[in-house]
Amino acid sequence: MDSYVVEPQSLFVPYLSDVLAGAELRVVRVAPNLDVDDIRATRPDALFVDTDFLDVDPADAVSAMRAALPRAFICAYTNGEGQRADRLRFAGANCVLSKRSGPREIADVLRTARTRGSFTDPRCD
Amino acid sequence: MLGSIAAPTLSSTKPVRVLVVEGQALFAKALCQVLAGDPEIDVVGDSDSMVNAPLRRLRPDLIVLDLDGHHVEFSEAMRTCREHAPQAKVCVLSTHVQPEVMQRCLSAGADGYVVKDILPAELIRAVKSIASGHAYVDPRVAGGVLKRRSNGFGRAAQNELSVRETEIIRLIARGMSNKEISAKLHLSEKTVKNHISRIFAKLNITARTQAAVHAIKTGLA
Repeated sequence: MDSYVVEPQSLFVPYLSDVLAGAELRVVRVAPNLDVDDIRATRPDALFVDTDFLDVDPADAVSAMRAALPRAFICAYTNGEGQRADRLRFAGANCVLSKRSGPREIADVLRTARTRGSFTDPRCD
Repeated sequence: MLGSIAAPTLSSTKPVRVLVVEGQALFAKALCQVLAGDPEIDVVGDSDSMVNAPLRRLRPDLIVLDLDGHHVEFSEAMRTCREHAPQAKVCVLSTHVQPEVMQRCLSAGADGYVVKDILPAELIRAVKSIASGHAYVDPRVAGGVLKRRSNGFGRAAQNELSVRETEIIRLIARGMSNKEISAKLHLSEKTVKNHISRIFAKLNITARTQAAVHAIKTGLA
């Protein structure tokens, strides 16, 4: 799957790309912040967004991504728990993934979420 | 010393023992991989927090501490570090480019401040500089500090929030009312109100939401 990553911690991106590759997500573009026009133009199959550093409300960001690409697989990567995680799911994220996850866990979770259609990390509940 | 240092050389041939303290498990692995790629750096471990890190056992020369991925107050993390690993230098990693965030970290005892969009080679340079006794600050953030100083030396200090005001603005950002803040900090509501008035005056704002936004933007919350 061609994937678009929103992640401002660019130091982290090469490693993240390797982890995503393990879940068959091929990173085709990386942006430091939300750019819906760029997402629409890139038309990825999947979006991986670090929701903790966005300039806008994380749920609004996910909602905008969902509106731009109704059929894309969206993974929200977050430190948030409880209501914050729920809001991401309700906004349209297929997968809500905790930042406490290790590399292997992330690959497993992403594969599961893609098979099932949705997944919320229990640590985000 | 502010800004980047050219070609740091380590006085000893022993590798620098580096501990990574990072709340995001994946980012911790990424950092360890980047740092371990340099033969003059020995990554002795990683931990999700300063409190959980076996500081006495690992005896790191330098700790790379992520400012963003922690729920613990930065100054508290620094206190833990000074108590259990007084020899260790601390390099802060952060997404914040605001000079006031950097200043707060340096005031709390950090030896360096690096923004997370740094290139891997530059991070290694920063770690070596700090380990060899120099300070290292991201040049973009250092530029902001110098600009503020040139715009009026001393004025920044007057507008800087006190420790108590910082505590209060953090609680405001968490959505707490004056009553809740007064109960948490064991202060009267009137004292809390006075602190909030001073915060508003210092930040030149008029509403709690503006205070909350300021706290979030500057990494206080």
